[in-house]
Amino acid sequence: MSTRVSTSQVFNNAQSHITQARDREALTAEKAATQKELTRPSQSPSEWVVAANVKDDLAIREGVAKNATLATHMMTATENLISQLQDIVRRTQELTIGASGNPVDNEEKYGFILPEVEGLHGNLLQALNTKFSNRSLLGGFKSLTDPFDSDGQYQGDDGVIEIEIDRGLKVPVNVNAQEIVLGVGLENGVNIPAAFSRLVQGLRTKDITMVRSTLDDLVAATDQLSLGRTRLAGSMTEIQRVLETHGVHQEQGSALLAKIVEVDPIKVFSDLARDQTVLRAAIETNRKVLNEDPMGELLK
Amino acid sequence: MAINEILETGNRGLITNRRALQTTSNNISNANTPGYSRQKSVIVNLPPSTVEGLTIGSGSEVKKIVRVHDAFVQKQLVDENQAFGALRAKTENLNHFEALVQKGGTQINDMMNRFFNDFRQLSSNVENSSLKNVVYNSAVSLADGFRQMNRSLEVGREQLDLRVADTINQVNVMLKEVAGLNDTIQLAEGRGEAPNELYDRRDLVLRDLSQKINFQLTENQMGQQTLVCGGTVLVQGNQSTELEAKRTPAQGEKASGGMTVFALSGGQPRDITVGIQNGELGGLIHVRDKVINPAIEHLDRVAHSVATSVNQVHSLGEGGAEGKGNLFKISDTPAGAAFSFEVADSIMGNPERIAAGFSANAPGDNRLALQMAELQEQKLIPKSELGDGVFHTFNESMNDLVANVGIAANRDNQLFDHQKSVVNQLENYRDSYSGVSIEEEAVDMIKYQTVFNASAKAMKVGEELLQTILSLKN
Repeated sequence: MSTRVSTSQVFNNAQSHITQARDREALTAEKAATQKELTRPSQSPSEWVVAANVKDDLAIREGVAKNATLATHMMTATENLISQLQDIVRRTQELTIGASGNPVDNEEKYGFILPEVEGLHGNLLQALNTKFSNRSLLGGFKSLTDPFDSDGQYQGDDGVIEIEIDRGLKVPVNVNAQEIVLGVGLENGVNIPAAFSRLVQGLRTKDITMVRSTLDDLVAATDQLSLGRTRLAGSMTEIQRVLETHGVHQEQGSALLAKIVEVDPIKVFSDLARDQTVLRAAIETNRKVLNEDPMGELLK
Repeated sequence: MAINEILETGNRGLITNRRALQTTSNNISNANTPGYSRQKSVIVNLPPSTVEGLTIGSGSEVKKIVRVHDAFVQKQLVDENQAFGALRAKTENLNHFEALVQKGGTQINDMMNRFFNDFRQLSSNVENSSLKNVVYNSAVSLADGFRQMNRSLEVGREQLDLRVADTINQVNVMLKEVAGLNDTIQLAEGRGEAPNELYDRRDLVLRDLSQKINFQLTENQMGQQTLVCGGTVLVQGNQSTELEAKRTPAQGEKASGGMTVFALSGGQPRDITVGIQNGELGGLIHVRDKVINPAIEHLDRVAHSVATSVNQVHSLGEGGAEGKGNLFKISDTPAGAAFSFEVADSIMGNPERIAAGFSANAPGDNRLALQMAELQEQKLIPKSELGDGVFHTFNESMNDLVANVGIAANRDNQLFDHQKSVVNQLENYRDSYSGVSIEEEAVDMIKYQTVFNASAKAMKVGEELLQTILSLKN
């Protein structure tokens, strides 16, 4: 059944066809120019929420990853410090063994050993006050002052500094000096600075009993410091694992975001060519229709 | 005399076809007039006369000129235009608000990420006082972000209310016109006339009016149309009701200061807002009350939750009650929280008062900073006020706010596209049925011109016959 077409319909339809083709071309051109498929939530609300949540997740992970890297540096510095302390203790142990032998030789021997042991004692106190990035490694929360005074008395506290290295995961980045250096809370724990003081005193007063009494302490000190290193090693392994996971998460998150938000460049340029062709066809077709002159033809 | 009748019949032919040509010419002239319905001349033959037992016709006349019009399509257009007008208002405004909310929501999320990440950085190096400056700047930016987004939404809401008032003015003009046309049409019909142009004008005004406001339309036997909206008579006969928009206190989903629509009839204003469900007015009120107001309330809930959660942690810092106190200043309840969101007076200009630990004299204590950073991952904000037990983080809740506006825009965009097709189809049908076709009118012109010429020739023949008879006498 044929449908009657009025004159205004002809013009209105022409306008409508061209407008629709123009609107579609403009939309595709915007995608081609921005390379973004998803620019507004209304285009796909569920995908937009996923993309927004991924973006926030990546931002949080970036902040956390920076902390993980800093934690690694701090723990490396602490591990180096403990290693240095162990070297000092080991050398002191060697010297003490030598000084614990036949008392007849000791007077002369003590004269040679004492300066070195005093030096090692000084090194120990200096090392215990090592700072990293202007904060002491063994002072607990009292990080801006030296944790040990010249007599080896502890001035810090038992604060454990934790750093967030992953979402919901914190690790301690310092060692508890009261435990590892002073032996507090440990079975057979030893106060290392006090042991050194006793050794120096024993060598000065040539008291072999006092000297010999520090031998066991120095052995225990080595084990005590090893405990600190073991704990640090555990945390560092955890951080390493987390840093690797961060990398994977970053990659996956970025890939997902790109998949949701960005266009397929080949498809969008192909769509643009198609829409431009449709627009040209609409203009050309309607030009022919609009240029018809029915009255002129009929009334010739 | 019979020859006179030949002349008379020819004359009637001339008049009939001249009038038909006039109608055709009028159609052509109005081919582009919006709302014009083409007119047709109804030509009938005149009663015959009986002469010497013979029945002879006496020509034709234009009995009436009717407009080609489908009342059912007009009614459908009036009905569908109401939904169309509402959806158009919704999509235009929602697309605008979506952009505002998306920009504001994304900014606030970025600022929250920065704020909590800065606390994370502070937690890893609390002794560094410059990091407290960084946290302070983030806190100021976050407060600014909330206030700015709140202001954008409130300005947008105010603009919607101004559009409501403006649309009411347009509706009033149209209602008056419909009432006036009712009156004029009644008078014309009383005189036995067929005021086709007035009918067309009234139909057009009603179609335009239906895009502005919803109403039920009835017509009585006298051709008088009555418009009723939500139980309130807008037009009856030659009387129209004036509408007014006024700012009123909070009511239902409408916030305080928003526009309410009143009908002024019988001297007493009557609130008819609830009855306005469609048309542009209905669309504007819907966007204002069901999208923007909930978005502002949602923003307030997020702002209040962020500030109170941060304050709960911060007030425990470095010395407790005598320590650093609140970090943010906020209203006691969520209502107005985004508007009032600021850095606390004690902290403003004093970044060193930002707490990072719980103990005094412990510069390395970072526990407060850690706990603050953890707030970002805790699900503290209920997803909805329905208490369904689902909670969101701050970021998730902001994303939800933006997504809700997006969902509303997505839904209404799709509905609008569909409704546009429906209305376009109806208008096409109306045009197809009632619109002027130049080709048809050209053919009609030829038709009537041919008969006009033939009638003139018939008169000429009659005149010659008369001359012949008269010359016989001579």
